[in-house]
Amino acid sequence: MNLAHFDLGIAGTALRLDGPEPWLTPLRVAWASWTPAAETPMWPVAIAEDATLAEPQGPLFDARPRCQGGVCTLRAPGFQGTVDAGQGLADLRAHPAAAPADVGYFLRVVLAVQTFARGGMLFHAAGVEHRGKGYALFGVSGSGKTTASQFSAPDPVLNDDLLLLWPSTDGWQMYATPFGKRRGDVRHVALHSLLRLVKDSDVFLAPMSPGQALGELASNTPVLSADPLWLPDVLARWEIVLAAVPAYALHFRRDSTFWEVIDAELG
Amino acid sequence: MLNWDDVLTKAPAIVTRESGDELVVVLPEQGKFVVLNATGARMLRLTDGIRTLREIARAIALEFNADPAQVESDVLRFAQSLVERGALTVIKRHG
Repeated sequence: MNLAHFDLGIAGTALRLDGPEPWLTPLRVAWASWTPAAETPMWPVAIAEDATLAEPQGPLFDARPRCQGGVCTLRAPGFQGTVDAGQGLADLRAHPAAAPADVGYFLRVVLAVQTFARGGMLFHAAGVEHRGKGYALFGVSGSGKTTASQFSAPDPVLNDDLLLLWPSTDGWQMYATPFGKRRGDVRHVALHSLLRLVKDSDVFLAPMSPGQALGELASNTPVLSADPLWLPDVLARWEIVLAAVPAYALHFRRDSTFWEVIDAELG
Repeated sequence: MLNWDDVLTKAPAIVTRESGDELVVVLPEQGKFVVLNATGARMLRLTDGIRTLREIARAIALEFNADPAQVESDVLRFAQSLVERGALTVIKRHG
């Protein structure tokens, strides 16, 4: 099997991917514009085919990362992956029947670990730039991130499912990722508000208690929130974010009126 | 159902963090969390694998100068909900 490699850059991260061409080439083509900035420290990610593994019984997406002390493992029929934050290394062995999408999912896990190790966070949220400000609309699957993104047109959507957050000199920036749907080509914007989506027939913003906001945000921190050893640091980092960025519950329905409420109360 | 003489302990995997007057309890294996007020936080701290639920209720009633009957009812209901969420486990069951 032919081997391929490419460098993937998302916000302040950089991954050097090596692996079988049939898995990497579709990702390289789809993510051609996601190149790392010069001098960004590279994390090598080794992908290998392993026919001795059992046939996959589902996508790797169904496998829950198990993290312990900075090392995350992904184990499922057909897959064995490890991400080691301390070593700055990641490797995935996969059965030949695996798909490029499985490798793509593994890279999300790598990105979550690498970003956190360097001071940022991967965040399960849709990011919308509205009137020059960044709004992170967050919530677990089914909370309405994609729906709210669609009703935000024509505003740019950095991503409708996963964002990266990085601290900046004047607060926090939210960055686009290539893992979900996007509208426009905005790559980053200052984070103005964190909005927990709540499907409702009425449209309004409700305050969240500090504890509620902290719990909600931690629960929407992919991969790391599954590690009891990492969780205290995850909670501490979200407290830093919350000291700079307000959080609200956004009750919304399937139309764009929630932006009128946001403009009136937060704009 | 829990009993007054049951002894509970905190599930080993939970992670807690104080936030203002609240205590955030995260259950990493389930990807869920619970936010406790001051009374709930105190109850969780008193749940140490030694005290019975009755002893915990009495301690809270004294500390918060609250109606013992009301506290007993609240503690039993609250403990049951935390057991169901996986934040507490029963280590000694009466009867």
